[in-house]
Amino acid sequence: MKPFQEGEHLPCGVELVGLVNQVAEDLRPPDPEHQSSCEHCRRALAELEPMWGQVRELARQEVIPPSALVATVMQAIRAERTRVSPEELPLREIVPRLVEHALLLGERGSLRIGDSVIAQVIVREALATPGVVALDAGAASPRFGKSSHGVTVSMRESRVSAQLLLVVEIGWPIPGVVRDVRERVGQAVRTITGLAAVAIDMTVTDVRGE
Amino acid sequence: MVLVADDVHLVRAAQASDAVAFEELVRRHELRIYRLALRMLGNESDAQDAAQETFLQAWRALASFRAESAFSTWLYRIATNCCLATLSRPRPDTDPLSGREMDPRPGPDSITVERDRFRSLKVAIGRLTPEQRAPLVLREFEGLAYEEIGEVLGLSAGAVKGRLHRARLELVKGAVP
Repeated sequence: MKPFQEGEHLPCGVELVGLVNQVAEDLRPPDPEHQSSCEHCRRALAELEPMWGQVRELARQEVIPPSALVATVMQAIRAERTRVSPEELPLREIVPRLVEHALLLGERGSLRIGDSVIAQVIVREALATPGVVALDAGAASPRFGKSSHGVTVSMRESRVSAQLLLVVEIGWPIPGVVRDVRERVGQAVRTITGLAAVAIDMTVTDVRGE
Repeated sequence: MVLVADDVHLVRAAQASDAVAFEELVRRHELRIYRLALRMLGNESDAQDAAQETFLQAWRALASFRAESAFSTWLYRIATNCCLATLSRPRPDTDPLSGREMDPRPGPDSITVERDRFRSLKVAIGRLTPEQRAPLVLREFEGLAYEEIGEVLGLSAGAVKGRLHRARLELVKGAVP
């Protein structure tokens, strides 16, 4: 049976679209007396309600985006960036002006996050990465911001650049360790501070065994 | 205290070519954009293509985003246009000139469809014209207000209302129980 294919008015003269909107928007009937006594209206509503219930159910149904969506998009974007302007790669974008805090401007005020906060987050993550023995507190790179415990943080607005001096355990593949540190540190800075880490440069200054 | 940068900061960083910030924006919005595309296009593969295209176009056009509307509204706008473009393209399977025949055997997709209890509803949504489908999907599945749908579609709230009411009516008339 196809209940609503006849016309756009019920035999009682009520417009079908009004009833549909009433059900869809959960509105009160404009003419409650008529609707409660009219056979046609009641029959139409009895059909519309379960029908719209299904729409609502479908709206609540969980949708899971394909797992590769983000990676595919970012791969395309990075390929495009490399093609267009290789000199703009983030790792080469060295911060020209140093500040000691990141400044986030919101609608209801601003927030400053000190560089020592970011540095602590970075140190913790780097040390927790398998293969990293220590950060090299001895060396410092005076060209960039403040260095403490082998980490240098520079910030501009909501972007962070970090330089790390790593001591890696002998036997661990250095490229793999460096990649892991970059991933963990980037993720931690993003989630803990809400800032987007742009550049994480690393220097392996030493290797150590047991 | 956990601090989370809002879209505005991420957009600003992304506008300065920060791909990491843009990646975070993609993560935040992938669900709604993919869901919109899925309800507009009715199948997962087209929805994935449209969602990817949406984010690529957003990245390319990022400099033109002036924060006059919410970033999500702006993305919805791009996504809706991507979906409308997909719908206006002739489908290769049904193109009479391609000479290709559709595989009559039921593949994994059609088996899923058989078991889908929303099947007749989805078919009815698929019968709506793209111009009716867009406001319906934005309202019923994405829960947008009339004004926001108007921003997405470039229509007045009144025009949105008109199209939405027409779409609902067509939907119930087309739904076969």
